Amino acid sequence: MNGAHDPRAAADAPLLPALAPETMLFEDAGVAVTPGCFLAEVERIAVALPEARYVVNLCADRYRYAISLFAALWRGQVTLLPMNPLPESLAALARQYPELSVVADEPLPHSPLPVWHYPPAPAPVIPVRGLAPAIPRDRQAVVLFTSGSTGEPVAQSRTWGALVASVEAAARVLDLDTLSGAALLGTVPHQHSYGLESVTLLALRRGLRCERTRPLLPADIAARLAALPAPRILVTTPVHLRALLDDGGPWPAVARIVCATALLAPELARRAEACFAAPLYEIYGCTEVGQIAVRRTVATEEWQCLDGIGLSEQAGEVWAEGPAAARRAALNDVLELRGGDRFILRGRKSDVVNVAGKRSSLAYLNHQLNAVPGVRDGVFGSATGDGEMARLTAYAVAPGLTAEQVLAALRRVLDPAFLPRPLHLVDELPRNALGKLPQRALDALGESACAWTSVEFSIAHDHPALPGHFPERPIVPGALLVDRALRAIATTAGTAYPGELRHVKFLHPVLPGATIELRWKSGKDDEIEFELRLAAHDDPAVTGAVKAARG
Amino acid sequence: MTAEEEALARLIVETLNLDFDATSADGTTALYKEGFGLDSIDILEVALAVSQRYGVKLRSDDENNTEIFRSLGTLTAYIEHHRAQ
Repeated sequence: MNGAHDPRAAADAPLLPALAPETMLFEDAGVAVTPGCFLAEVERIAVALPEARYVVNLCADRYRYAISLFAALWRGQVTLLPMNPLPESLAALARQYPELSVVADEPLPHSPLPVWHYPPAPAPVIPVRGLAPAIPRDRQAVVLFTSGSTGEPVAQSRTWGALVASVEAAARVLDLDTLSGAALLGTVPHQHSYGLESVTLLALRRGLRCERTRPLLPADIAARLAALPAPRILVTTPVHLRALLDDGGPWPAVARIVCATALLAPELARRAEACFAAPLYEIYGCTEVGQIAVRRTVATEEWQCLDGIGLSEQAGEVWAEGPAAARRAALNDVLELRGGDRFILRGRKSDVVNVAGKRSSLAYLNHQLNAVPGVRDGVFGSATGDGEMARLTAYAVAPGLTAEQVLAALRRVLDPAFLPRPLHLVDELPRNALGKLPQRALDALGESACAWTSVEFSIAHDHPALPGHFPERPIVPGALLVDRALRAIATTAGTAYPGELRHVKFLHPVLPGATIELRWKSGKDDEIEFELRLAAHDDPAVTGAVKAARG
Repeated sequence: MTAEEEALARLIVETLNLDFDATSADGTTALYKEGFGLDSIDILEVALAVSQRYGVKLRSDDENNTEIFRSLGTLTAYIEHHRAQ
């Protein structure tokens, strides 16, 4: 950005724009939070925030989040918005940013860092009169994060000026000036780029009433919307929108729907517009750049760039830049440009995965899988399932571990959306001579016989048992063991009970109270091979094969 | 595990295609994290499946869904309570 010649970059931008003094920004204890009250609370928190260069804002309530964000901005502290509040993510932040404090409005029992709790407000608030404080546009306001390939998150910085320019440009395209005094409800977290820009900042820059909670269940979203006065704006994602529509209503009247984080199927957009009788606008963006373009999905597949965003092609990549961009960056998607400000989205680059609107890279996910103690080799594969609910699969070579143990380790470091479903334990990965894993070989692995599914179950201590050959060593009858295994196979495979046993061998006795690992895989001729393993033996206690059941 | 809990466990495993033995669950099995390992996207699918199977629309009024989604038992109790009404 050429700051010296760009008047927008040179000037300040006020914390709040000029709004009517009675504008309701939030509701607090039954009372309207007007711009004057909002600024008074910002001042109170700005004075109270701990001394630190960076503030990790984990507030769940949108009002307290916005106040903490603006208080830090006013004071010149940079707000960090981690991808998730997992203890490992916070510890990683502390390594990158030694001078930080954590602000939260709910208990964080597992936080590895000390937490400053948002203090209750004294009553009554005396509104600030006059203009909102001016903030230099080049001040660093927030740092968002994307997942890097090495396991450390990659910082994506935003200046106050870029945020304001981007949010103002989006508000114009969404035609929000015709909806003065509207209420806005968002289903997305504000620790992410989309929630920061399209919920919190959009509401504050346009003087909209922002719903403080983030309802998830369709019935909760509908009830919260209905409790807000019309006109209403719904800011959501394809996943939430599909759930809301599938739930069957009734839906309160909505004047505008905004959707982002993943491409919306045109059919879903048509259903949403019909059910809510409202125009739906889709926003395209990424954490590196911020909001890039908007389209009315039912009307066109062509995206229109926001004011202040320009696109150009260079060395086979499309770059975004401009005063409304956080920075100049190459995009992770394949775009077909139609001039400098319009394009068709053709798909994602192969390393980028998007699960339920959350983006990560396969390099990052593979790094985390291979960092699990006991995993010798592992790789994430393509998505299973379809549409908004598609999930990732993964393959791991992890002798001595169960799939559940590997998943438990991944759960500590990965956002739940990226946990593989299923995780296949395999004897080895089909790497070629160069050590690479061709996608074809991976696909074949998914279908082939060497992909074992593993589940664990326990036999009750008081399970019916036979006396056995030795005193005090009762054994669990083999027929009951096999029955238990076949029921578990039916459950995990989602099929009927596979009743036709082809063969079975009992190699070790199984005693009541034992914990058993069941491994099974599809073999030739509609056969399912299975084995039951006990921790005490290297070889299986029971092996067998059964005819696969249909559906 | 009660018959109602077992039926709900099977519904969850079938709906989400989980690598989880529904028969190993009981009323205290957690739905999030260890246990069924559900996340917020799964909760949306479960809510839809419950609505179709039982005619009960799940309401939490709590974005973390901590109470009704705490365990298989709490979700079963919620469904049974609202079915009866």
